[in-house]
Amino acid sequence: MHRGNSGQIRVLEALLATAIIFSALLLTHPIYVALAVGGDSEALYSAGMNALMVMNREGQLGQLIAQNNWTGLSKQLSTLLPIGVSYNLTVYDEAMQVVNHSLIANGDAAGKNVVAVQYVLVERTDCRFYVVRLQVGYMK
Amino acid sequence: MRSFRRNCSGQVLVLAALAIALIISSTMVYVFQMAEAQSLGHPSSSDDYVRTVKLSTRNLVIGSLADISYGGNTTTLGTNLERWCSFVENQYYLGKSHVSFALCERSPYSSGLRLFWGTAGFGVTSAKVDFSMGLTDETTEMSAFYSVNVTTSIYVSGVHQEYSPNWYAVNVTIHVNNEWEPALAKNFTVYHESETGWQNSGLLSGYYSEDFGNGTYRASFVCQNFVNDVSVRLYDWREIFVQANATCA
Repeated sequence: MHRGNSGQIRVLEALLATAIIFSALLLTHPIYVALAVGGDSEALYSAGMNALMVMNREGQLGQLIAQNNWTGLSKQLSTLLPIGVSYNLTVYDEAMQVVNHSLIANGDAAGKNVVAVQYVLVERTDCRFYVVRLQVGYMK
Repeated sequence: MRSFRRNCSGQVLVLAALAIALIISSTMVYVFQMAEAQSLGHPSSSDDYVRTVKLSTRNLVIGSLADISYGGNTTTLGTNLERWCSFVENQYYLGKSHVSFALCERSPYSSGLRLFWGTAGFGVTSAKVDFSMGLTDETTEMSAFYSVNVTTSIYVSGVHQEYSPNWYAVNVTIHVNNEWEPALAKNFTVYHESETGWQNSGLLSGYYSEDFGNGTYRASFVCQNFVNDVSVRLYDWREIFVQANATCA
């Protein structure tokens, strides 16, 4: 009887060993996800920051804001941000009052991983200061 | 001994699996902690803020200089920079920020400005300011020192030739520079001095201007009673005004 069951016990032990290793892998999975999301956040942040910097290099960003040209601003952002990245931009003046009363956005961010980029800028013509808050995320 | 090995081999397998699971878990936790430690020093904090402020400061100096070159008050530069420093200090949300500036007083600058619109073919409109910036947050403490120099200059030279009594063919060559590198002009006007005073050469019927695309422009015209002097008033693409007078050869 004892000898006859030993094979089955070996199989059960092997299954138990496999289960232990798989459970360890499953438990550490959230860490994989966190690391992947962290990498995505950095890429999103860089994309957003670079887009704003390119627009501000020759003072164009300030010019578009001063002219209330939200359509132009939106077009520029859509061109500069990678495909599949959605954004939502809010412009504040020196008193931190919202300047854009129309939405400057494209699509809908997935909500899982949205990164905010804050940018301070100067408009050259009247030397007015603005804070731009750009939220970028991957499209749903 | 042999039977003991046989009986315990399954338990050894389970123990080995536990050990492997432990190694996997601890490795992952270690990798995660290392990645987290690295992300604390991510440029999304202070480095990017300094880059942003530098770029915007440059735009502010350009805007102020353009205003001053149009005839605005020379104190505009200092006033705008004081406002800017206060604004920047308040917007750093990761910790404390301190920004200060010093207008260049080294010759030929005065109060950070150099406006020299000469009569020997050279004109310059320039601003130079030194900045220091300190940022302190939970993890980093950094300081940055940088200088912003915005300069628009032109070199004007001209030649004239009398081709009939009192009628002169004049060629004026203009070189435009931004920060001493060739740059494009947004627009410019050439004036010539005649016996009745300064005249806008662009209004003459035979006026012709040529853009070489490399910051060099040539204006040609034919005028009457020319008294050798020409003047060029120019705006660059940053709307900074500069002027220079020259005597034609």
